[in-house]
Amino acid sequence: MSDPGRPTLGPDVSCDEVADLAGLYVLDALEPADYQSITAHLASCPAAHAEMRELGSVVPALATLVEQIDAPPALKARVMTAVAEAAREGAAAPQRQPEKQPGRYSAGGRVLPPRLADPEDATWNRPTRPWQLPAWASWGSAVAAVVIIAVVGVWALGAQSRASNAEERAAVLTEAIRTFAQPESSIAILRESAAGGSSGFAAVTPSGTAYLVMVNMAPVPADQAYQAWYIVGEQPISAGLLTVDESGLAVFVDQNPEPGAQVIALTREPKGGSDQPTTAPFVSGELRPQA
Amino acid sequence: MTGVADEALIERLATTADEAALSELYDRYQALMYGLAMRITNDAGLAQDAVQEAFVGIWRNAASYSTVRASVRTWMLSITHHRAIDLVRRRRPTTALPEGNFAVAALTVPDVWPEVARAVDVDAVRSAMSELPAPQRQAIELAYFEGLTQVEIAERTGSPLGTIKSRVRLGLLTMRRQLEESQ
Repeated sequence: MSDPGRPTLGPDVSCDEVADLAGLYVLDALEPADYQSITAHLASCPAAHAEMRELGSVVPALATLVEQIDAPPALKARVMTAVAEAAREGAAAPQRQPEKQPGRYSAGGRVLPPRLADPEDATWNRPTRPWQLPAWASWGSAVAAVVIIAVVGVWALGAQSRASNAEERAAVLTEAIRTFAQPESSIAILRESAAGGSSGFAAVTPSGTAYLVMVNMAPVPADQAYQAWYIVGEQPISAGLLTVDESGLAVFVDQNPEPGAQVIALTREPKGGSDQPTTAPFVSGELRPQA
Repeated sequence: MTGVADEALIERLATTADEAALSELYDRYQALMYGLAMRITNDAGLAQDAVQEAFVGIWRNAASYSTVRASVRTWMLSITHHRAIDLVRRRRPTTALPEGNFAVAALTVPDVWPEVARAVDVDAVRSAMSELPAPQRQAIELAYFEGLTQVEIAERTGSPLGTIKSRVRLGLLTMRRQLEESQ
């Protein structure tokens, strides 16, 4: 018999596997690793995954079967106090992250940040249109501006054809650009040397969320994958696999970037990723403080 | 605050951490949330913890609510469900949900919660549930109301993992069809 907690999925989740497990996903009934794998897939996959909508639509109906029960009167004060304390702290409490092991492929553990915007940040603009360039993105050097404009431009061209993931991906992309533009962030410009090659940037917040955005990424053969790496000293540590959409855009978020990473690099690896790079990086950039 | 739309309350919560908005949301949904948490945890203390943690999560994620195409009610219940299940599973450490990601499901699948549930009444849902083949109904109930994972349901029922996956999927599809027909 299977062990509870043991993942049933491999590290490289396919759309078919996601569709197959959609019922269990919408009921919160997957093993944690599988849940995270599918969440990460949904956050980056350009496919609509209509099965999630179809099966998920029933879940709110299940809640109607539950008898309403008035909570003890004292609970309201507890709730108000807990939220007030969280607000005073100013941000989400630091979240426990899975331990990262050097050289170990761990893309399955990548999850979308549960909080894409700081509720206390009055300057936060909700991305009502996926291709809307935020006002604060006007910052930066010519290189940075070119990269950001290219990213937003690619997104604009493809946005109309994207289905249910469009808003979510736009939110991540907006947050990535926002992080890139903030002076307290560390950033890396990534530009392939070959003419017409891929380009993009990495940006890491002081609190430790890393974003990687690449445009003009060529499709890889079915037996290969793009893999991102943190380089600490001379030691490459896997950041995870990149999913590239039909427009050549890759958006990647990591809540647990490797501390002390000095360089971000991308390689082409066998499908499923590698423990250590098997090819030379086709693009890399030094991670430096913005300010 | 009475008469203010749910969405406006969430907006106020997101932009100013408005205490009055939070109070109103609590008054509107505490019985639903506590009832759901009690059903899942079967423990008053855990249920109160789940509701408290859910409201903290709601505040933390209020700014992202616009990316979720769901009613406030559905969104709040999905967070409550996730928190309650997480608390239950902490008693079974091998299956605890990922720490801090309680709202991820609702945030990463923007279209996952359309409006089927708004229009159906509880009798229609109960009828749709009761007409399911018993194994499908059992799999859904064990997952949603008891917080068991696929592996745990397989062990509880002595069925293969793939069978559990199929039962849940077929059961939800059948319920959806029946709920649509009942409208």
